[in-house]
Amino acid sequence: MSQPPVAPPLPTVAGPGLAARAVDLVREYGTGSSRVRALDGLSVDLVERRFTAVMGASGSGKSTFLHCLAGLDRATSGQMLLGGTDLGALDDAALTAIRRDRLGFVFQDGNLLPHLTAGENIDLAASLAGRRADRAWRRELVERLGVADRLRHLPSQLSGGQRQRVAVVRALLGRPDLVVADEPTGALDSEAGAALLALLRACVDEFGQTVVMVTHDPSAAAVTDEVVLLRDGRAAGRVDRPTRRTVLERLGELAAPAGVGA
Amino acid sequence: MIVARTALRSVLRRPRQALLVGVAITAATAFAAVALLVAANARVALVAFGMVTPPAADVVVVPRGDVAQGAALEVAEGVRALPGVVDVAVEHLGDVEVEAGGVTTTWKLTSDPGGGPLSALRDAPDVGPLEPGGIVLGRRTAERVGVDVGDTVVAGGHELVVAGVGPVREFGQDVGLVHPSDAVAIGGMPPVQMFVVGDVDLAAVRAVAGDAAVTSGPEQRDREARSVGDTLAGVLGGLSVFVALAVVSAVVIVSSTFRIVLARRAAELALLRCVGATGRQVHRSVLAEAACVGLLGGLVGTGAGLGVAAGLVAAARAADLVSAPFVAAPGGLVACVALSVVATVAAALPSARAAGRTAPVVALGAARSSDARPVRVGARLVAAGALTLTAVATGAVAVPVARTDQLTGLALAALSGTLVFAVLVAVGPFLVRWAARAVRPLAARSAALRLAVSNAHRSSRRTAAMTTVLTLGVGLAAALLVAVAGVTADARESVVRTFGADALIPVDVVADPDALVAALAAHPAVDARVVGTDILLDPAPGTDPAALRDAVLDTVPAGTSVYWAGDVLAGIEQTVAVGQLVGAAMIGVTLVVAMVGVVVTLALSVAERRQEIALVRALGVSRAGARRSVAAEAGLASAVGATLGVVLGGAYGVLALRVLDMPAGQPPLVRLALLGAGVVGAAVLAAAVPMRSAGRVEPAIGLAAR
Repeated sequence: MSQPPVAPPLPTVAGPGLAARAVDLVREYGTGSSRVRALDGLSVDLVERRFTAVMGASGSGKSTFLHCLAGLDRATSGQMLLGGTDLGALDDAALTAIRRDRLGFVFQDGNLLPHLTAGENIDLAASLAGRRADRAWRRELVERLGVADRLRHLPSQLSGGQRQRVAVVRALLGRPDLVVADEPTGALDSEAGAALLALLRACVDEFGQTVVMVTHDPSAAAVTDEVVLLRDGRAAGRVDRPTRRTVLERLGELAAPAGVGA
Repeated sequence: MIVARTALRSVLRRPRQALLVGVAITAATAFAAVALLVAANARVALVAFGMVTPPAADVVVVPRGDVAQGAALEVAEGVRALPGVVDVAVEHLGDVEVEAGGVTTTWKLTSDPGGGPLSALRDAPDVGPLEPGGIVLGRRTAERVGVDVGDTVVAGGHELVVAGVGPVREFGQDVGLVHPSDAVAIGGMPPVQMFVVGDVDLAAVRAVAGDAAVTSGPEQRDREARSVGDTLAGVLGGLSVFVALAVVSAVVIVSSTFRIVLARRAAELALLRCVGATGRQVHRSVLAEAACVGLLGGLVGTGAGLGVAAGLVAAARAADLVSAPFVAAPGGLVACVALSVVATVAAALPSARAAGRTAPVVALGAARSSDARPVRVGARLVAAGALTLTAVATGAVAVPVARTDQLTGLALAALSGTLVFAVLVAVGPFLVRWAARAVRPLAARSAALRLAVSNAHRSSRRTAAMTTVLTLGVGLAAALLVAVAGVTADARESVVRTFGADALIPVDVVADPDALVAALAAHPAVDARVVGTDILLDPAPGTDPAALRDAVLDTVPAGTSVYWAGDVLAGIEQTVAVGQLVGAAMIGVTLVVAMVGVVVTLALSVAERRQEIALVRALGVSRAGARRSVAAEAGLASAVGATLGVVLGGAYGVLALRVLDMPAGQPPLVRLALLGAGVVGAAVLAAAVPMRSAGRVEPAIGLAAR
């Protein structure tokens, strides 16, 4: 195998204007009495060129959803469509190619390989695929995200905010269909967190990128276009043009025992 | 490309960790390099020592047994008279008392024709000539005794003038070459062989030579070359067995350390998978990293080996055992580095496979550290059962097979031992868990001990890696102890059997045996009698052996051969002791690798469990308690290894004795117990560094969010 496979397009499509779509998604862990249903028939549409937050209490299934969406985990049943591709139908090699070519990742922490410089980390996906990154696009990104003078540094020589910005550059460099962010501000102080959110916002507004972010933080969610709420592994509503206040209200309703608050 | 670069970076950014992972293979490679270089340099010495027939000799005549001086010279005259004979030289050899510079010592004197193609001086025109009344000294001999050309020395009462100082093989002794006529005159230098030059018929020489062995020069030189080759092959074979053992031990240790290191870096590997590395690329990057570690370890190890070997050869040169320049064998050294790379890559194969299968989702969640992954019990136990049965069967067959073919028997015993080692590798984790469960009640009183026991139980694979290699080292040492005890007992028995007395004098070396027995018996300290072809000598009742020796030496004529049982036994015991020392040094390398394994495994284990140690510290375990827990873990692992090693090694020692048809006798229980206790003590001592770092963990980091 000289070249890793390229992600194959499949006939099923998520729908016009949709970046991704979950249809009746079920994910179970364990067997017998220890069986846990992390996703219990979740159906969600993620609109293109929008910034979407996924929220919910611990155990609501938001992390599992994110894993399925990012091709890191496979649903037990149901469909997880990324553009025109049903991720559940792909083998490991094809999923790897999807992650490399069509997805970008920003995690809470530990986004960068500690022994590679920031620049090398940025080029990692392209290097793994055996091709060269788009130089002009790369230059634009590193300048726009303010890490141009940090490319020769090791992650340990960068601040937490700088590390996350490098991770965002890496995520955007391949012009992915979708950028998946898992609590990206979780390990940052409030100032650096706000700066990072503004950057993600700009990615959507200026570069037309689709971003999905899992978060606990209502202030972070307030930066997005839309909040998708999960509860017990199912969709529990959406908040359009969220504010900190509307998000807190809806979360409060969700947290109340069924039948009382709603 | 990115794969190799990432791997290389990973090693370069963490050189300490790379060295830590590779230190076991570094030690093994150093040993391989030392073994190789010592063998290469010994080759030169062995050739010098073993190739003694001059190239010009066309025929070699070697008398059988002791031959009287006159008879040998008669044969020489007879051969000289044969048609076609150009030259004949009789070589006399003996240890002679020589007085030089006022000091008398025993020299090894050899006769030399003094000139012509059969002379040792043929290639040294500036030395000599050696004529009757002269002597040529070895360079170091001349330096040691402080004499030079023109000085006089006295050999066996004959004054000899130093005619030259030159190319005489010395091997650490005082040596000299004398003219054959002087050799006869000095006495105590029997003729040992005769070289003939000329186009002469072998049958004709045989007719003259009586029962002496007659060989053509080329055949004799060929035989010597073969004998040197055989010796070398034996040395190399023995060395490579021990090098292989050390390398196998290193592979077990490196394999375990790789697993620990990669488990710690699971999130990093998962991140690679997240950004689109295929499982294959991750797998390859781990193997490439292993190759880098192996290369680094190989270079350091080979360099260290080169240094040690150069030191050993310099010491040998100082002792005149080697005179040739140091042989560096660059090809062999490259092979040592390659061995290190290959062994390290092989050791990393299982963890590389596991790394390739890392789920990318690990990058998102908390990294599952440690190798608490369950071991597939069923498959391992079935494999271990089959291997154990094969090992027992092979061991059982070895003894009867050895009756007809001892070498095959030994090979079978070795195979059986290898199989048992394989079983240990397979079931090591279960043994460790079983041992941990067994000692758990003992640890109930101490939190630190309980922690150690539960940790050994949980990380049974890495504990087992320490244990397995320790078992191998201790097992070899125990087998050596048992075998040495057996061989010594056997030697003692056979000496008693063949002598049947404290000393004996063969009847045929004495002119008038009856008179001698009568003279000896007359002495109050001696009990002398003739049994068969020997005069047997014992101390008379009430006298001690020393008195017997004095009495016998006073009574027998000078030059009579007296064989003392005590001397023969001491000689054998000295040989056994040298063998034991060499064996212990070889096995010592495996034990060193095992100790390295203990240190590295515990150091990595402590580094991985900093959080956990901090937590128990926060919950009230003292600094000393944290240290004790590491010591207890080392103690537990080494106790399992030492016990298994002593039991299995002892059993295989007995098996080896049975194969060699020697009585096993009383096993050296005290020595075995000391060996086991020593290894446990050494392991706990080796744990000092990881203990210190465990004690240094601050409780606060246990409470910090990850």
